[in-house]
Amino acid sequence: MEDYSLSLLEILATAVARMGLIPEHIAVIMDGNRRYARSKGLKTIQGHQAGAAVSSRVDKWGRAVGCKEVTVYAFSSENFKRTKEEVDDLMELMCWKTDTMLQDVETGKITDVSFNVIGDWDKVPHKLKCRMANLVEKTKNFKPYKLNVAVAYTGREGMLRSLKAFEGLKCDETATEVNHNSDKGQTQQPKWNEYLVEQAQNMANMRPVDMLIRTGGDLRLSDFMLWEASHAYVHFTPKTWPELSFSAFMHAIFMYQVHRRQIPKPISAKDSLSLEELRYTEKTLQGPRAVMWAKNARFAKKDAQVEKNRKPFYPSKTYLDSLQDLLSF
Amino acid sequence: MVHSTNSLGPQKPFLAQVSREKCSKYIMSSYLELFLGPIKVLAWLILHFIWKIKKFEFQTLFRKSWEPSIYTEIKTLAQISKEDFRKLPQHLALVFHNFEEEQLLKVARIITWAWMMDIHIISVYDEKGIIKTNASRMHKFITTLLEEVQAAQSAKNLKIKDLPSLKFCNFTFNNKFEGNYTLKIVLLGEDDGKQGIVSVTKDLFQKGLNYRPTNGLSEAFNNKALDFVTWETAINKNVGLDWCDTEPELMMVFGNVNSTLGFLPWHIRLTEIHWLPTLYASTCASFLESLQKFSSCERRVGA
Repeated sequence: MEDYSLSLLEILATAVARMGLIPEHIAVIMDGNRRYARSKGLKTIQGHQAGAAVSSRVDKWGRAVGCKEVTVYAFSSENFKRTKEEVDDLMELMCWKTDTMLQDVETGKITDVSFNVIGDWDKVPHKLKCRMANLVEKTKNFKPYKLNVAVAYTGREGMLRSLKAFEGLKCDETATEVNHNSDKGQTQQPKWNEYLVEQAQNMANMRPVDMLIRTGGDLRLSDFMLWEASHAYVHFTPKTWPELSFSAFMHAIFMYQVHRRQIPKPISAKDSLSLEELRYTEKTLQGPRAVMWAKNARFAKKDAQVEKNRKPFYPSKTYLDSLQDLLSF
Repeated sequence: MVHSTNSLGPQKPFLAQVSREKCSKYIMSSYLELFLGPIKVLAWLILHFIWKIKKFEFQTLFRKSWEPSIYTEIKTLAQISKEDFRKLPQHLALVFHNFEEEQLLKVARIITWAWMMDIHIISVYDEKGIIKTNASRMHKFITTLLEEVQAAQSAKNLKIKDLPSLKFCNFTFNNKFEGNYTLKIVLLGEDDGKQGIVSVTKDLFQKGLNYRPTNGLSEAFNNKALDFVTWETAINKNVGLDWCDTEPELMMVFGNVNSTLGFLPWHIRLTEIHWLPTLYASTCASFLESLQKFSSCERRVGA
């Protein structure tokens, strides 16, 4: 993994930013890798590799500023429509990225970030699935930071997963309602509330999103975290993902602080429940969560030995680029 | 306590040495924090103050800003050629932050602007549901404005646009005029968003679509009834969009806020989102600017 540490100026900037409100959960749509590659005359995969380098920096910046959770949109279900070559290259890149993180976990470099994958596991290739499951398994007890990666993910599929999560629900009257009116006899169903639907989508115990950043200049959410980011501050930036700099990130934090003063954070779905309702909901979620973790453990066991890393591609940055970033704050 | 001795004589205990170093580091960092702390706070305050000055909107001082007459707007819109826009949204969403009842007429004007730009499906949303509660007043305002538009067009010898049939989804009103086409308006509140999806989910389960025998088996089965299409149909029916195949292509958020404010999470998958000034500060020009920006954007769906 790239050895990146914040400079003195960056540390000072994060210290100043911490005087105000900090988003606890930041979601990022990493758009613009291919446009970046085209503009620099690089191959498409090199654009994605440059983007991969930035994603680890953003994680560090987020932690430096006090953010507890970061979710990145690595691969959409719609991206499978791209050419086979590009999809294979992207899967290979994600595998490499997971390898480096696994090595960092094993060498003790990462001890406080738990890693999670959200999305449709069935669409992910077997090798990557096992590798990611291994990383999730190894970091599941790490605290206090969280890094969620959306792979083969769309927001609508996530919402539909919340329904399917309760198929085959065991009979437990304390956590469910008994429906006597069904023509099929007594049915068991969970006590539906907003928090239950929210947690059942990805089973990752995610916080509501406070800020959503989209790079690349497009002004839409592209089916990402539609439920979780419904009251988030949305920050669109015209820079492509590999061009995202520390000052652009701090600008987003600054704008979040301005926005939050105008619009206070709404009460989360969890806080709106009574203690009893929360207890019932957590009990309902136990079953599907256990199924998910068991599935994850099975895939983690099947993971092969971690391969040696090849040298990644890091685009060089000139002083002029840094000055331009600072001036555009 | 561990004592170490060497040729220089007995040394201080190791633990005492280590803790003294840590102590001095802690004291130094405390002094540093004492010195830097106020500077950090000052820097943060100055940054936010400069931003506030830069973004100061004079319209906020005067609640009712000067607005051009409807006739001026009609003339402007009538002179615009639709060919200047590469594309226009078929379904437009208008989202209002901090909405007040006295702003209903302004919303009706914006709907009229959209109608003049050949947008025939309009979703209107405010968090508190005030617009939805005042559906009958909205119907009255829009009807009056449409009649004024037609009168103005004939008075100023402009090309007359045929009046539409007005349809408010989830409400039934008597229409004053019947047109060749329909202007469909969907009024929404926060209850139609996440809460709407939760209630739809509950209904689907209550109908027994997810029924399983309670023998504890947990293998997955493919319940063909509970799929994407079923759920989407149920959600659309709940909010009054069951007749509509398209999600909003463009969403204009009024109120100087960068947030979707809880607007139907299911329906904004690929919606282009534009942030507009407050309702008081918004003009026909800002509306047209948003449409122009939409017409020049590219849509790449994953590929």
